[in-house]
Amino acid sequence: MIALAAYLGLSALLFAIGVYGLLTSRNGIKILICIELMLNAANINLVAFAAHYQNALGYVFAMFSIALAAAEAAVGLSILIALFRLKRRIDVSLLHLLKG
Amino acid sequence: MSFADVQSIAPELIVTLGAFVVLFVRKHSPQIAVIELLLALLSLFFLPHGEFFFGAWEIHAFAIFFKALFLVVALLVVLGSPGTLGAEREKEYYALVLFATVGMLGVAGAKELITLFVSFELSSLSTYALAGYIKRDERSLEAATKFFIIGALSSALSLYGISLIYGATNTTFIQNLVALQSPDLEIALRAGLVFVLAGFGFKITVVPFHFWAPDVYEGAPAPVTALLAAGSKKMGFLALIKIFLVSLVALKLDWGLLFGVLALLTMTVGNLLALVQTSVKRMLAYSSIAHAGYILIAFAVGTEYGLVGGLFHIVTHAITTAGVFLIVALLAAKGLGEEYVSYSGLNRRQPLVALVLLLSLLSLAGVPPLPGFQSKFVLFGSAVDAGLANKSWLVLLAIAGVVNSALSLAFYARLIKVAYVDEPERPLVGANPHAEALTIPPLLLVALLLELLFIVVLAVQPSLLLEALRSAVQAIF
Repeated sequence: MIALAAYLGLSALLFAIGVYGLLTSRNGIKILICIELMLNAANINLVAFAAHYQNALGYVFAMFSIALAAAEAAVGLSILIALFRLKRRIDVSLLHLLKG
Repeated sequence: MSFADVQSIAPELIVTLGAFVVLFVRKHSPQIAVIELLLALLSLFFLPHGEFFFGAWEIHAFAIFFKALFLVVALLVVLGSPGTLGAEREKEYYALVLFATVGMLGVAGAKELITLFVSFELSSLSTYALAGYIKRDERSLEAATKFFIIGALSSALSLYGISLIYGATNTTFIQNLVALQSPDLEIALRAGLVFVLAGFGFKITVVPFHFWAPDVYEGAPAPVTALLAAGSKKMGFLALIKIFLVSLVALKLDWGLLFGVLALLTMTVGNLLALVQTSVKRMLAYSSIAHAGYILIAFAVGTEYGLVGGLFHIVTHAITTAGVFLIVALLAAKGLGEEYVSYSGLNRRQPLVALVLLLSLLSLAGVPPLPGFQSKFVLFGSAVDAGLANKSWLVLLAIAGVVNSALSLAFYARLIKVAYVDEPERPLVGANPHAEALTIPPLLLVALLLELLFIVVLAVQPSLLLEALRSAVQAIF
């Protein structure tokens, strides 16, 4: 039996890696992957707590959040595809028209 | 699932159905959307009150108040879009606006965190797509990309926070969130609340998390900006009220000072940066950040009276800012541009538009007796009240709010001066074939008249709305 704290530590680590990657990477796909990491860190939390409490609520929440992550990836990828069609690159450092 | 359960989600069902009808019927998208939104507004009168879906869904005066607000905002946006959006295909646009509205309605009814989060995301995902709706416009796509990255970060933060809250309390029902499973889990609950505050903070543009808003508001098509500033931002406040007012009171945590500092920073930074803008859309984006600061005062005060003031300001800001963004949309669509100079001579070009702009801007600045003044009066009044009772720093917060309002008059008055006094930069007739005739599309005319009606009625009879707000607040306090 692995302790609850171990799961929480893993998820905190994943979340931190996700935040770091999101703040440092310039490539659109990398950013999407980092967002997935952060969402899945939350899912690990939910499932670990659900197992700890023997309560289905956390599993249900995790299912919903997986579906949401998929929808979010779909919208994000379609925005990146539109960006690629216009600029032929998906480097977010190219985005500098709006400032002030 | 009983019949009453189905009845309790009638507005959501009507709007969802409307979105599908818009998608499958090829013509008359705006008209269908308007009819569906009006039907949904009508259905609010027949909603059964109480708890539904095993306690995950609730209908009371507070929920109905926010549902009505979101439906009215969506109605204004739909009325203002035909002829100003500038896209080739429009029906998906109206469907997305309706889906975003369903999400907002869901947040208003949610009594449970899964429902709340899923509704929140439904609305957010629709608005990401809306921000980039003009696919060939580089600025619109840039806005959508930035909005998506920030929005996804914000939802990941709030989901992580919610997972910690669930872990600490073993429930997702909001009213039980304070039942800690063991005392050493309080740290998890607090950390969860901080993550949720940061996540929703992006949505409502609280100051350390505000930087994305001006870019997105400027790049997105103007009717979409109206929906973002008037609808989706208010949804963030609603979610924050639902989670924080209940949990903080029950936990006996006093976060008033934290919210006070955030409010002060948000309104000051918003107003100072709005002063130096040359683009009207960007100025309005910063002004809308400043107004988020005013509304946050309600969280710092934390009394019933304070919350009435906060809700009042949410309404007046939502309606007037939507009106101004629709006017921005009209001028941009007619080829006049989005800079201050584009508005020169607006009064001579189109007096009705200039009048709505004048009243809305004065209301945003808080000039008596317009609605914006009255809501600020209630809001700052509640801060002074609570300040005199025990927390004296709240009086200073109210004074800061008044000083900020005076400061904000500087940039609102500049736009009014340009619209009313300055000579038109481009000839009224002649050179630019699109610019001389500033004809208002018929549906937008309806929206502008509604704005005018709202401002005048509230200026004369604010007690109408105040009564409704009081019963709304009593439903949750």
